[in-house]
Amino acid sequence: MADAENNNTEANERNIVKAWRAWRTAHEMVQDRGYELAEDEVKISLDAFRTQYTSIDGTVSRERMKFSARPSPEMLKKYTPPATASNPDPQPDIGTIWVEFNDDTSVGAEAMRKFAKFCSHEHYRTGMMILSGNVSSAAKKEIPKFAQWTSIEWFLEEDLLINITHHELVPRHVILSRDEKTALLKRYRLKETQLPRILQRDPVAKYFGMRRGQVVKIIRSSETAGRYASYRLCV
Amino acid sequence: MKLNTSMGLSVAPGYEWKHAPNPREVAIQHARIIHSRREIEDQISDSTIELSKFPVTRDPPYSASNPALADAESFKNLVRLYQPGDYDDLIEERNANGLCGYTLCPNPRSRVSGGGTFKLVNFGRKDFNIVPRRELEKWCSQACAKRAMYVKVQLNETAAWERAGIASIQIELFDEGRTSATSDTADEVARDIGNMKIEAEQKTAQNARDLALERGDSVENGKTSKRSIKLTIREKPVEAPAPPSLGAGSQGHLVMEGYKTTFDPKSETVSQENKTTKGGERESSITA
Repeated sequence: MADAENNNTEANERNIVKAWRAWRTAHEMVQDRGYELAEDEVKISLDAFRTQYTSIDGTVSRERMKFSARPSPEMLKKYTPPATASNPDPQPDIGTIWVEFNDDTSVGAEAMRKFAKFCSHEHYRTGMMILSGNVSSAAKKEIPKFAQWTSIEWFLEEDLLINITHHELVPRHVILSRDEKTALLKRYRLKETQLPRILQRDPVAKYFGMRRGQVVKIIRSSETAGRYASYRLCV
Repeated sequence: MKLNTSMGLSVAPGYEWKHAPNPREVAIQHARIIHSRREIEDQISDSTIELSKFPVTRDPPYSASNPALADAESFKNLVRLYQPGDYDDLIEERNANGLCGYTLCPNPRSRVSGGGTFKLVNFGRKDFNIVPRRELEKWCSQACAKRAMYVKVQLNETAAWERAGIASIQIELFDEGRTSATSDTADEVARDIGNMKIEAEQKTAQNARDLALERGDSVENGKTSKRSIKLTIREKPVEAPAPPSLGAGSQGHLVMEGYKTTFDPKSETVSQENKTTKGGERESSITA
């Protein structure tokens, strides 16, 4: 009996550590995208996480794990389209992000619709769902219906246990603004389609929330050249 | 440029551009079509959410084999527009809610004990099989799987908006079909005949449309309008070819396929010098 209890607490402990790591990676992801987050929010210690996000019986309460972040001025500038004669004061196509954890075994269309409605109603331009279960195909079909108001992204918690961009084999990715993109295309006299491509579902592209048409600069270290930059267009 | 316009004018009279459609109208019409398709798709996803919580009445007298009449009716009405893929989504959605995949079954889905992605079914018997665990956990029982599949095979791959207007497409439930097989045969036959009639009508309408397209008739609001080009049939005068005649003074005998060879004896004198060098051979060729 004591053995079973011991097993139970061990499993619970593992669960807490997993949730903590996903929580940290989610914060790092939001920060790397350019949203404003305090350093102590991102680098939360396991003990601090335990006191804040576990219920009395010691299990993780994922319904409490949610946060929002505002874009930083640099990010706003990066995502603002250049002013034109017809649109002299363009609005940035980025806004506050809402991140929510979910511990349902599988997310159905109804839960997804509820989440998307909540995000669009509260004027969050991006909604991120971090799930422990899977998403049904009907739920995936709900996402594009809300694309006009809010862009919904979802990640599996098990995919966020480590931050992939911190791996030594993943080079630094920098997303270019529209001005930088036009300058690049002009500099090399390229058309958009002549650039190498990166898929939107690529793990790193998903990490940075890349949109179709954005260009990412990939900076690798090179033995001969020191640094080597290449550019990829998100498709 | 001037030439072009004058040519254009010379063609234009007599030919009226009455039926040339306004591009804006065409665009609006297509936008409406797309809009109605989207509406039907939304309707399907709404009904998926609704059906994923079925049955509404789940009291003991009613079960998967004997569903409440209202539930069965609304299920049949809603699932009518589904494609097989949508139906799979519905099963997945119900499983996500922890219910058996068959829409009219009030039981929770079964859970297979133990780990592993594959399971052995009916071990040691003739119908032994190795089944993916996901398939096994979709249903509460084998009977429900059969009932759900009975509905699925009646669904059609054609797009929902093409089937929305056809009232004759009705879905039948598994048990319902079996009990009514003896009593309602006449009814069934009548429905089959009705279906055939509708199919034949659709086919003739399609043929008429194809023919109209081939002829260049424009079809507006279902009725064929007059041709946009005026046709006048003008007979071409045909003259029978006259036989060749040997009239007086005619040189018909010299004509070879309508061409009369000319022979100028003077041209021979030009090559008099050659005659001396190449001798009799050449002369003989001329005489021949």
